[in-house]
Amino acid sequence: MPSFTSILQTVADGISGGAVLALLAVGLSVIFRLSKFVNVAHVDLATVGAYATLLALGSLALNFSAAALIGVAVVAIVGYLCYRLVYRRLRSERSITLIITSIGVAFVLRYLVTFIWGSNQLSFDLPLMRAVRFGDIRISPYDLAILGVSIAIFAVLQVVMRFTSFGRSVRAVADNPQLARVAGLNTEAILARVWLAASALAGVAGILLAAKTVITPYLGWHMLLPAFAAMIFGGVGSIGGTFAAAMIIGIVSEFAATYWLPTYRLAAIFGVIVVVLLVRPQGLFGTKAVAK
Amino acid sequence: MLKVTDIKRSFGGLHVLRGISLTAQPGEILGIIGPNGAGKSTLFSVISGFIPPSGGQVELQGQSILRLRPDQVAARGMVRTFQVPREFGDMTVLDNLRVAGSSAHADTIMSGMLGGRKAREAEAELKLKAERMLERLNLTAVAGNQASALSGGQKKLLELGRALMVNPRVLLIDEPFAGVAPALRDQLVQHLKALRDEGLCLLIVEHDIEAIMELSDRICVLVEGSILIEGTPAQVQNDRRVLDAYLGAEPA
Amino acid sequence: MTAYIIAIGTIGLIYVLLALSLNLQWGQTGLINFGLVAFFGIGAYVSGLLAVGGWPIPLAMLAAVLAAAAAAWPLGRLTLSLKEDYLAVIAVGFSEVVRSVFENEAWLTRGPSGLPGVPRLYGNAPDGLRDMLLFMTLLLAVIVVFALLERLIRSPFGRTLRGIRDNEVAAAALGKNVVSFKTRSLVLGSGIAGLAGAFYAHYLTFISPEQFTPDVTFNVWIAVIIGGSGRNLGVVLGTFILILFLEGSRFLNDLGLALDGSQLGALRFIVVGVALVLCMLYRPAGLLPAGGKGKNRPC
Repeated sequence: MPSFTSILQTVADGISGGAVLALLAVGLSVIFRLSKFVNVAHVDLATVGAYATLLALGSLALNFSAAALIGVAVVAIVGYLCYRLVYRRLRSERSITLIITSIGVAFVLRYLVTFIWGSNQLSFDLPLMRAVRFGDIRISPYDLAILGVSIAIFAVLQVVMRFTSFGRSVRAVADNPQLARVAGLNTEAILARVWLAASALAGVAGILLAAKTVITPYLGWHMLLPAFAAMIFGGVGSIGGTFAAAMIIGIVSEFAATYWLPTYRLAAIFGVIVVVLLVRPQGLFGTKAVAK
Repeated sequence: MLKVTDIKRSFGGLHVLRGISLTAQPGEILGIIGPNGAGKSTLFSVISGFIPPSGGQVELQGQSILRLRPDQVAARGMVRTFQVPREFGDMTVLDNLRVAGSSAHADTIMSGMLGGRKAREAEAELKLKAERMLERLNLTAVAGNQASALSGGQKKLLELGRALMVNPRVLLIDEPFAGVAPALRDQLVQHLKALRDEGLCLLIVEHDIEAIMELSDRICVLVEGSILIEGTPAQVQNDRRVLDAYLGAEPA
Repeated sequence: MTAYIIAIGTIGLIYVLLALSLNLQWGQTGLINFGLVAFFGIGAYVSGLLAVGGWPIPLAMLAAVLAAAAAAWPLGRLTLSLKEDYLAVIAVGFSEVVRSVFENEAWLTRGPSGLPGVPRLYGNAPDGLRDMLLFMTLLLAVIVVFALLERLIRSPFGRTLRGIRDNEVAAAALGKNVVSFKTRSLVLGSGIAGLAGAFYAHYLTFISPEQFTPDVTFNVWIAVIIGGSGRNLGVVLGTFILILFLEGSRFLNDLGLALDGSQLGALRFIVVGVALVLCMLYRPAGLLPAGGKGKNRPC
């Protein structure tokens, strides 16, 4: 039986993974609510973000934060273009058509990156920092920063969604697009902004993850199933729920990696999804059923 | 044959069905009319097993069918059609009927891949039965067409034909006359009467008041989830309350 | 040169089996099986391991088919009551979980370094003849499977599957046990995928978990989509086009483009991705639509 300390350490190790996952999952979730399909290419936007930042670091000799901002901007634009040029044209099709299309887009994004940079591991070469100690638990400052950024972003999201007119408009379009249009909302502008924002969030997630680990073309793809799990586990459309679910998944998967086998991390997540869907089809906090 | 007792159904705070009870016998046509939103299609969905009720009982030939899946209910002899036709769009009209008519025994992989003479004979019989159905419904001309390409009225007829291929004992028909060309209307009325005379028990939801008055042996008027009145066509059409409920609908 | 053609032909036929399997599940029944490679892998590993353990190859292959078919059952139970989108992602998850079992359970599968030394079919024959015999056996198997599936498509079972694909609510209203039909379609299709895996193992003689990634599933999907879902002949054509492309792109370097191996591979996938997107944008029905097939179903 592992000691209490090592359990806490495992929790601490899982938190940053969960924080990054939350940023990915919330974008996936909002897109699913608004455009009604699971955008498989969303996670690959995270990959693009990491590589774009790398490019900015290398060729523009900027410091990390500036390069990261550029990276996020690039991803936001790329994601928006995918919507504008591809997904929007298919909006009246069945969701399976859109999913298959997004698989194609994912291929293009992922392998374009591979073509340019190769499939070897790259890195931001950020300075090594000593872990901070809380009692017997050690947490890297990077993990703390990741958590901080994620919490800050989620706080902003909650405020925007609940208290601003933009947030209300988004909810209106999600619930009933035709009614929203009739009521005078510019649904197209709203959708455009949502896609920009969601893509930007994916970019942030990718950059944070790459800062903590390494950069490979599969950076984002490995997060597809966990992000999907967080989305349904937390209830589609619930921002707080998605955050909580992502944290839980991040921690559970860390436990699986530490006490079971690293490569069974995925199986653990898969198991979580299955159990949740069987027991509570609407997720932890959601209201719409995902099972028939 | 069919006994519905105190069926209730709510969605959230909305009470769509507030305690409906009715019975229907073989060789009888029970018409169900009422304003839009009265709950008629929901009633059909509950009776046939698509939606569970919030309360009440449904019995077919004395046995409760409440917990059965829709396909199990159909296997027991009660088939329903849909208000908006649900044709198998990417198949021919003939195939639509053949799907409905194939038995569970024929619907197996073994029989499909390796079936011999018996399977071939069953196929021939099925084709014949489907072709006869097409004739009865005047759809022979479009037998080979894609079902999605039919007109609205033709799709309704196909819907009816498919249901009949299953040899039901009780038939729940949702708006059979919607979109049917006037030339076919009388034929459809005669056809439904013939089915009743053959011993079928029919429940028909319809907005075409003339047709329903002509067809039904008894009529139920459903308003806001409850039965307002039940009786013979004559009784119903002379009842003040029915006219009020419809707010200006023409009495037949 | 002949050896090269036989090699391409063998891989091509294996993919044809996979495409036929997917066509049964997706084209005929409308099941979104994004976990196809799991059954391919299970077939390969079961047949390979049994044969290495001393079983006669035909028996090992039979066991592989049965194992793959049986494995389809839990996936069916899991996914048949879920919405489309969820089913899609979960199926991918399923195939990745299966792959991680291949990787981790080294005591069973020899782990990430793979399983070498799988006995060849016709291992006793001289080299050239052996590959030819394998190809002919595979061709025979494909023809038999094709013929049986064509019969199935025209049978009541096949029609019911298509009815379920087009409108499963109506099918249920007409007395069809939708879940039972879907499960049978999934199981049969997975068995065929398992057969493909078995041939794969005895052809390559070396199998490892890396060969069974979701990319295989997506390649087969592309073949089926390009070929126009529904008609078996169409998916064969689609597979042919896919293999031609995958193999043909090897020769791109001869055209003077100085790309290294991984860049070439990446370029291939970029083209595949673009083709897929264009296909979806302009012709969702594929190149050989089965008589005006539309992808819009009233639900």
